[in-house]
Amino acid sequence: MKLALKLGAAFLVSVFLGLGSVYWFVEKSDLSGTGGIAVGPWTTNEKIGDVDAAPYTRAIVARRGLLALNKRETVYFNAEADSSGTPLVSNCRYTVTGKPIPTGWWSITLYGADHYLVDNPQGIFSQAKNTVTRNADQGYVIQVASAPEGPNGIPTGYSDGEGERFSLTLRLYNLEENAAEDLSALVLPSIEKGDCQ
Amino acid sequence: MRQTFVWSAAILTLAVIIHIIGIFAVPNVIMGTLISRAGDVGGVNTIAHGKRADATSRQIVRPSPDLVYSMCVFDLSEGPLALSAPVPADTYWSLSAFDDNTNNFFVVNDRQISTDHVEFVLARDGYQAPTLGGAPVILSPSDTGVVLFRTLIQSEDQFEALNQIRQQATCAPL
Repeated sequence: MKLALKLGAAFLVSVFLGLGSVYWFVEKSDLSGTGGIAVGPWTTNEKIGDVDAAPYTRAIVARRGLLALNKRETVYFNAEADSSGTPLVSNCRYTVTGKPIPTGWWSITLYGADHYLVDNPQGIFSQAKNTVTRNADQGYVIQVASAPEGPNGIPTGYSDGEGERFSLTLRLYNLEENAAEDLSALVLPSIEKGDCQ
Repeated sequence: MRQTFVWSAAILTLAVIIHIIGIFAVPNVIMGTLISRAGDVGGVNTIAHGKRADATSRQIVRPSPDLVYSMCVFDLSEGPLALSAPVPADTYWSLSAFDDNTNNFFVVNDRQISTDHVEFVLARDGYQAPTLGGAPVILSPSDTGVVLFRTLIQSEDQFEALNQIRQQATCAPL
């Protein structure tokens, strides 16, 4: 009887540790494993959507990017921190500065910690190649804040209290072939933190 | 002391085994959940046209608000499907297919298509599918999965027209 209780307790502890670590990896770790690439604050994995994806990559993508296309069609970069490595929070203002990217279409979209779009009074969730207002050099500046200023804003949805963590996803559709061959050589937008409420 | 070591080693070994099984199972479980909820979006082997993503959208994580999605949850155990869709002009459009382990095993986009309409047969890997008037055959490595049609909304004033075009797509047993 005592042995059965011990075995039962040991089994439960194993299940807790085993499934708990699965949850932690899927929810908290990044895509920096096999095929992982970081460009400034942006990270991706060349194996997203691919048959050859490592089990961890496939599990993370299933949880945080289900039905993602493979690299030949779309590259997904994700940023959970600014260019200095500080986590993105909804009560701060960020300036995203970018240059033209050799791709058919791109977009930058803000997601909450639950991986869904964030409710905001402006009803704006992204800026994209076809919506962004450009500078004379074809570059662009996007302000990410609760009340963004300028023509290219992405609201964080912050109203009061403590800020919430959020992330930005940069989608690159139909990246030019030579650019897709070396994703680490891409010049991607910087994310500079400004004032916080 | 030795007994504690043995118990700890056994617990950790079992935890590692459960962890590995769990990591391998996550994609199948999540995809299986999406497929099992096909009834919420019209059923299996039929197309469902999702509304434009906003802060209330909860069906798929990290949806793009710039695209509209039409989805066909498929089950090929009873035979192949016929896919048909108009290809809108001057905007990004793609048809992609995912197996039950989340692999994106097929994708085609507007740049690769010279006509304004496409037709495909979706069949199980190894199946000798009859063609649909010569339509290309897409072979799926699994019985179940998802076909997703993406259409980019270039500007708000194009939304109604593009929305009507994408709703002409079909997914039905051959």
